[in-house]
Amino acid sequence: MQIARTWRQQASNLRLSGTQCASCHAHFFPGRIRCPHCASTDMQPHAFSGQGEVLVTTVVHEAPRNFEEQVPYLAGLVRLAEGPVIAALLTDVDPKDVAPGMPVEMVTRRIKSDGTSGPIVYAYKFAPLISELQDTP
Amino acid sequence: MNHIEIIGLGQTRCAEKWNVGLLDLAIKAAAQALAEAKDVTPCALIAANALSGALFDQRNLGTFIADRLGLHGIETHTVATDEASGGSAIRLASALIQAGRCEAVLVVGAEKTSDALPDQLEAVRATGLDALQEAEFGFSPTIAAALGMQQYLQTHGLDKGLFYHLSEIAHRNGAHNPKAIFPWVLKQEQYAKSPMAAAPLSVCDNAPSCDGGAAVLLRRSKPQSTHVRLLASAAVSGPTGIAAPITSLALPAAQASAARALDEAGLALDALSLFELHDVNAFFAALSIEAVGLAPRGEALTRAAAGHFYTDAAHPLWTMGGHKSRGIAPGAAGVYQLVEAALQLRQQAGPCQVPNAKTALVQCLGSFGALAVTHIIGV
Amino acid sequence: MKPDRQVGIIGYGGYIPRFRIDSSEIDRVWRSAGRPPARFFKAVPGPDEDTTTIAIQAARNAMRMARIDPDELRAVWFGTESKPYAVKPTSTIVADAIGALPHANAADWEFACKPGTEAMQAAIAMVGSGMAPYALCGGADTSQARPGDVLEFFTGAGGAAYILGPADKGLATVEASNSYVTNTPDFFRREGQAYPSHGQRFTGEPAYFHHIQSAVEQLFAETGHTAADYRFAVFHQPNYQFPLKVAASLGFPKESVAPFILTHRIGNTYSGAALLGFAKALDEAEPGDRILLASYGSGAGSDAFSFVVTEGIAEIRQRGIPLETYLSRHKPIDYALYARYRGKLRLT
Repeated sequence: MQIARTWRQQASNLRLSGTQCASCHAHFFPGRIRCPHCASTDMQPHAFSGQGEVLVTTVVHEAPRNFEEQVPYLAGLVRLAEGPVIAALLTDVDPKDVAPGMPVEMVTRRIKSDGTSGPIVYAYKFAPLISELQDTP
Repeated sequence: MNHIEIIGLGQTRCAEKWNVGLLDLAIKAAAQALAEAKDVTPCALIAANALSGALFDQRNLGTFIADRLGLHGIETHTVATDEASGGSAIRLASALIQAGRCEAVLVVGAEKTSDALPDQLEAVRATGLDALQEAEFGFSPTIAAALGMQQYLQTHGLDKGLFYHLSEIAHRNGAHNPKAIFPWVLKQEQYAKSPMAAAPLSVCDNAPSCDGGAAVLLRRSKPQSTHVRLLASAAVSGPTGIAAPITSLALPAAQASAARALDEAGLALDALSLFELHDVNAFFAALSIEAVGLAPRGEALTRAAAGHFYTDAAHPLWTMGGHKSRGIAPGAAGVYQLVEAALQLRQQAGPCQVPNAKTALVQCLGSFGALAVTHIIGV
Repeated sequence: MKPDRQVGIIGYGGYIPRFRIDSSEIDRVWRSAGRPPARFFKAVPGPDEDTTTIAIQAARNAMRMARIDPDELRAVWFGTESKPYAVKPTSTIVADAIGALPHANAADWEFACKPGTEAMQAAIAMVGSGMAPYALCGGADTSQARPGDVLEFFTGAGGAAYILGPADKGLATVEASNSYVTNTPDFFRREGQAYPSHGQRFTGEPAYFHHIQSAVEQLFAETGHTAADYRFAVFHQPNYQFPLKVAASLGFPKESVAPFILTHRIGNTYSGAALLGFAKALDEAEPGDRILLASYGSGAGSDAFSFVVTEGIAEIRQRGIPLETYLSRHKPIDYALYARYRGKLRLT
């Protein structure tokens, strides 16, 4: 049970809160406390927009512990509108409907839970743009 | 650095060793290496192990191995740099010798994976990636490699079936290695039918996790000695995170580490007799080939298919089966590579022997390519 | 009851999961009668969804429409009867996700299917009294029903959120609200139980109908309105028939009610039901329309509201996500996947 660790990650997990270097203006997600480019420690919180684009995906059949319940799930790389590329799970979309370049946006989902008595981790996943949802029977 | 020699080798078979524990795997390998140089007592022992702490097995392994070997009074260390641990331990051992701190250093790699259930092992191996942003979200090295393979195929316009040729080479050679966990030839039909772990990565694209111990005894070289020598050593780290290797389809740390080692050894790539690269999965097998310079970018698979890496070709690869056929005991992987390459140079590789092997390059990678350790040995 | 200061809805948003199970599929597994009560669909949350994630998306959609600084929200109140944590508020997670913390009141409300409208009444009071510039309230559920229970045909998943603020920035103004509550045990779930119990036909006349009728009649008495003054009326909707029947008893024609009964498309979303129907009505409303909203919660009570749509609705509404976007999402699943997604398979 990693209660405090999950708690520390909440701003990042729930709001895509990263940092921006006050000196060289580079954006970081996840946030950094020291700029790896210019060594500045003046790092300001920066809320990422949650808009992004799918780069590549895979369908996971063999999952690590705590993720078996969601198999098969879509995992991929998403390029955030602000630049950083992050590893993220995709949801609300079938594998056949995902292609590189597809625009996606951040949603908050249950990532995993520690058994039935431990904490639930809520965090970002990416889904097709709400305005373009079109599942039909 | 032509003054460090390898005077003892040891390895257990890579397997699911249900009745052997972590320490005993290490002891078996270490005992073999020590037995090859009975008159030498190491003044330091460096253990290489990646997962034991996370699997609630023995930590500070080096101290415990030394105790079990009766090597009291020597200095001990334990190195944990994910799947590069073995390479890191060898480099640190050679640095101790070069610095004049030690005459002889015993490096012991050991890993016990079969005590963990597969899903637990996958979760623990995942913490070699970014623990908070990747492992926490259900990403594992296998899943990341699947994304890499997908990107590789997409970018280079290749067919998934071409990845077969990488595993095929490893199995063709490993079929003759008595220490390999899967010593059989991999047929194309078998590859095509193997179940997907995460498309397009199938079980046959992944090296099997297993238990194993491997050891090398290094010593400041003696005049007129005929032992295999360490010609170069280079460790290079780069950006962490799975995104960089997948989007760039390149391993800058592996490339820099290989280039630095070649430079130190004063050798050109074509002068090398064989290569042991980090084929923990097909993605890393392909990118390693390209990073070291054995194929232009995007051509690792086609070169493999064309037979460029067979033992009778110009650049023999995975001559004892690589991680794919021999098996991967993650923290020991780099030590296994050096043991196998040294056996080749001693002309003791049996049916796996590369004729007239004189020099070899071995490279292991940690944290999805963010750390690369390369060694070159020669006789 | 009405506030001193005029209060309006300045944003709203709904959310409904994409998966649907057909009532005939449930019938196939449990009764094999070949004829379910009626053919309809209910929304099923995916394996990564629960009340919290539904509430977060509804709240985000409401914020998207309201376009206010989340710091200005002084309350984030969600009602549900399917809390992922029995102890630990869902509302703090929702509030954190939309950036409203820490200077806000956050609490979970519970009153069977009507805690969302209770929270709405409180939010109206909070804004109306001048204590807060804005307050967010809502209801969401992943409705529970024992497998094989007739209730299982109807239990859906979804939720909606509303942001209350000054009437002059609103898309609809609150005219009045009224509650009617008694101690009536028609439907309940005991602590530690996975599924609710209900009194079958007892949930009808003395429960649903009596409470809604009483609340609405009292609202009419206080405002001087009759059914004829309303273009739309939205009621709690445990099934398709109840809201039509209660509407008729209060004098509302079918066409003012039926378009906002979503039960046949997404099931009974419990705490989300009346609020989702209301969102659908707002999606179709025009300036000057008067809309009635009456919830029902077992235990038992009804909150009734009267709203008048403002001239600003078209401009504000186009910033949001029409509920039809979610209603028309439809990824069919069979009973086996439904059982898996709803955690009805024992894994440990």
